Amino acid sequence: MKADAPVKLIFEYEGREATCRLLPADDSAPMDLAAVLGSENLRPAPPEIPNLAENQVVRHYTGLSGKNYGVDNGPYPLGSCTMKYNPKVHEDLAALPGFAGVHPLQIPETTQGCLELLAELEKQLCMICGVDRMTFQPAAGAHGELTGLLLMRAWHLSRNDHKRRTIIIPDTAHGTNPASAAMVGFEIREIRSGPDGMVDLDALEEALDDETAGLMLTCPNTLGLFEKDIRRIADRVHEAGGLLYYDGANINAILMQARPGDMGFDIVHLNLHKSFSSPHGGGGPGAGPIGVASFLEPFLPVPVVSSTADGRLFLDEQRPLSIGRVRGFHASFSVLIRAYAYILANGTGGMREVSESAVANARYLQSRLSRAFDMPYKTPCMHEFVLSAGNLKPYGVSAMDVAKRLIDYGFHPPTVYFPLTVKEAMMIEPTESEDRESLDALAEAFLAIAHEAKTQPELLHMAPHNTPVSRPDELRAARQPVLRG
Amino acid sequence: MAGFVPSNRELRAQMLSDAGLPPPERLFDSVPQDLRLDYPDGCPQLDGPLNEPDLINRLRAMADRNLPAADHICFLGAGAYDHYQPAAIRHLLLRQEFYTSYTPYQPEVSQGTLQGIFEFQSLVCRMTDLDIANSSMYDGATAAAEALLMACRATGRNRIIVADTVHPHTREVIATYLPPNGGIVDVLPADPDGSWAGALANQPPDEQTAAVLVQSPNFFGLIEDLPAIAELAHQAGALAIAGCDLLSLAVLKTPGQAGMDIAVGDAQSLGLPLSFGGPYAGYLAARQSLLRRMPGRICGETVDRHGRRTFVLTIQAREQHIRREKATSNICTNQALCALAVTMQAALLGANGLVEAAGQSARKAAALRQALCETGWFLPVHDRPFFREFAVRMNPESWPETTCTDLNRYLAAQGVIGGLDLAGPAAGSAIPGGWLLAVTEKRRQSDMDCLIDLIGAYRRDRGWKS
Repeated sequence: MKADAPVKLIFEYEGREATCRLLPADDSAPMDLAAVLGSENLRPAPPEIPNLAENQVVRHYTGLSGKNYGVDNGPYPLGSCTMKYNPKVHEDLAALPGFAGVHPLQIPETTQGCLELLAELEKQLCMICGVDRMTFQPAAGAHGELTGLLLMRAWHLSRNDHKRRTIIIPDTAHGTNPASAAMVGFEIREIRSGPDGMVDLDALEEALDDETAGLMLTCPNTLGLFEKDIRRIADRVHEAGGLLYYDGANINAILMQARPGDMGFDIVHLNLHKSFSSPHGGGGPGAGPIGVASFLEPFLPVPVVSSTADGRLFLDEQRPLSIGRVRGFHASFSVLIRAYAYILANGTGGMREVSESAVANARYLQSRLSRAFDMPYKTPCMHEFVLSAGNLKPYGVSAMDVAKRLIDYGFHPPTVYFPLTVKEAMMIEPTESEDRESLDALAEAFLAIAHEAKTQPELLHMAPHNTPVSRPDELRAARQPVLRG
Repeated sequence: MAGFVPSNRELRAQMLSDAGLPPPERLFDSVPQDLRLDYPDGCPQLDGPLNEPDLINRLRAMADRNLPAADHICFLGAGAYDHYQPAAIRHLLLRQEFYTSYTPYQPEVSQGTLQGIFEFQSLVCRMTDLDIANSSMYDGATAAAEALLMACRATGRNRIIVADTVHPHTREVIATYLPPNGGIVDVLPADPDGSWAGALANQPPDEQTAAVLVQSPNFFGLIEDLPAIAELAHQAGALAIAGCDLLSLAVLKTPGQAGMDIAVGDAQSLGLPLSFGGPYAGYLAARQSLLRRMPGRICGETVDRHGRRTFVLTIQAREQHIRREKATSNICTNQALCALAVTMQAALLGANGLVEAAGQSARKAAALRQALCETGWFLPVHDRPFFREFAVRMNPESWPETTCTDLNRYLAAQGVIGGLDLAGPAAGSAIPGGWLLAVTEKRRQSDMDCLIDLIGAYRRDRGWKS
């Protein structure tokens, strides 16, 4: 089937009346469902879902998959998303029946292998981050932020410091930072970045007071720049009585080169689906574990893995100072299996090679593109960099046009219009997964597009040209919402 | 040599040098020297590196230390259920175009993911009989907490009433999420007969109540009187929220039919492996009028430039990447791949299979409860209709100095995963000697006979009368 052939909704196929052959026969005593469930509790008619043959369903989803671009197709330079390769063996390991078939509430005698994996992964991640303990409760990065901020709140309240109401966030931060802080009831104080794209120490000084609960920071920041004053920033926040939260979105840049804990961060979140190679899944499932310095350990969510005197592992739920539970059950366990396998496959040397290659690739690409686009910050980048398509404005071409045209060249577009501090921003993160040949191909495509912008801007406005659909009418989607079939 | 980094130090040096850039050893110059790890001496030693066969052996050894419920005879539920997942699901999910791709920000190259989300939303609407659904939440527990925050915003009120028969983990998550937002949570115990509608009628919501949250089937498998609860909520101008297991809705009266405003729950029972607790997927569905209060991603249908049917993320003015601190939630990641698996399971089973899986689970559970109570070793706890799951308690006269955990240990040694010990920490308010058992369509009559035989053997070993 051609990739651009439309695929109807699964509900639009014509089913047929047939017994489902995927289930065992009912060999228990025959009973009337109405008698079991109560006739008043019954659904009057079954849900409207067609009865299809397996091959129809398989062809449907195979057709859908053909309309997606994945990491195995080619470069996926989405800034801040770290779209690295997802090793194939991980999928087999996560599917081992000894992992995938374990019920979360089994007695610990029957889950020692799962608990061992949690304990071992915690050890490895603590070494990578320079922290003392981790929780695997958070289901995603934003969920990790929420959890970390709840820890901050709990810590201040435990010291009877009730006026700590403010979270300081740089203007280059991800949108989840202020949104998470708001969900914990904090007020947000946004501080401007300096002309060099880094935290402006004067602005920070102005924002700090005895109401400061803490600072949320990504380092390297979303511009791909390492905060040169990080030590000073940490000291000032701590002196003011606040805590430091590390948004781990960009830790791929510094894996085993430097550690957030050593920089002075008290709480560190990791996106295992970014830096530790677990797949993004088209938008989840992820995992956003957080690590903390020892003084915050008593507040961690329940449960945490502990061991008895004779070395048996169990999930400890009895923690009186805990902020409580932030999700059902324990963790996004199968995501953790993949991250653990990734660390084991790499070791310390391998992790250092990951970060070194990620930075080398970004810097090379930045250098190749610097002639064709505006470069708002001249500081050498780490794992990603931000360009502006502002120089194409005179030709009526936007960052979005460049991004869409890149699709025609066979690449996934970069992140656009973020961070908000850069006009016509294009945020590019090649990751360590690309070789020089593909970096060159990507660079050539960008350069060709920059040229096309000046000679045939219409080509860019109408891009992409070769995809199953062209640009959608987003206004119509929002104004006349059709949200189900 | 494989590995996941296609360059080496030499190639990187060449590449940087060709571009006129400083060499690899200077890539981290912008990191203050005293913060840089001194490799190898001052650098922590991670485990590894392992080659692929050794890696597989290491993890397989760990997996072998577990007793996986799904490969044995499992009677454990309490929010995660051992249903059958057809083989086709895993094969389809392993298509890299699904599992390696990112959130569909670029619709032209993400129509597969977007249509998958749209189908999941459609499935949830068809199962719940509500108007709208989002792309999924982390799990059922967080979906419930987010629904309550949504209700507080929608009503401008801040008190919520939660049934004590809601899953204890869900109640704990609510207790974590709500208070920092100014939400006040009142947990209302069910009547002694297990009915929560009766308890709510005696202590009805008032003009400060933003929402009432009830779970049906509840933590004990009991079916709640949703229409009565919805009516009590609406009389006070509060929203009625139901927590419903997605599969159960194949046979049970839907939240939409019952007059509920929002439905949330876990979709694990429909297509997701147990995986020691996750990842699963939560769903959140609501009436049309609540659309702009919804958390999370929503996919909509529109057209492209040529008028072709196109799917796109929409109604985004609610979300964090646009509204920042004024967003309806901080959530950005949903559980896209899990939601896709759920939709695939529903498609593979079809309406007939869904009704069959849910119906068999309900009937087999009823049969097991009857059989257990007929032994005289166990007493019923509730006397109300239940779905797939039920509580019994040990007859005190039959079980000297024995807990359900003792019994579970014995059963596990024989390859049977027993029910949840309701006196234990995972059970919320404890029922001494209580045992919560779930039965899915995977269980045969012989499995249930085996359970009862093993309990008999346990008793015989101790010289107790059978």
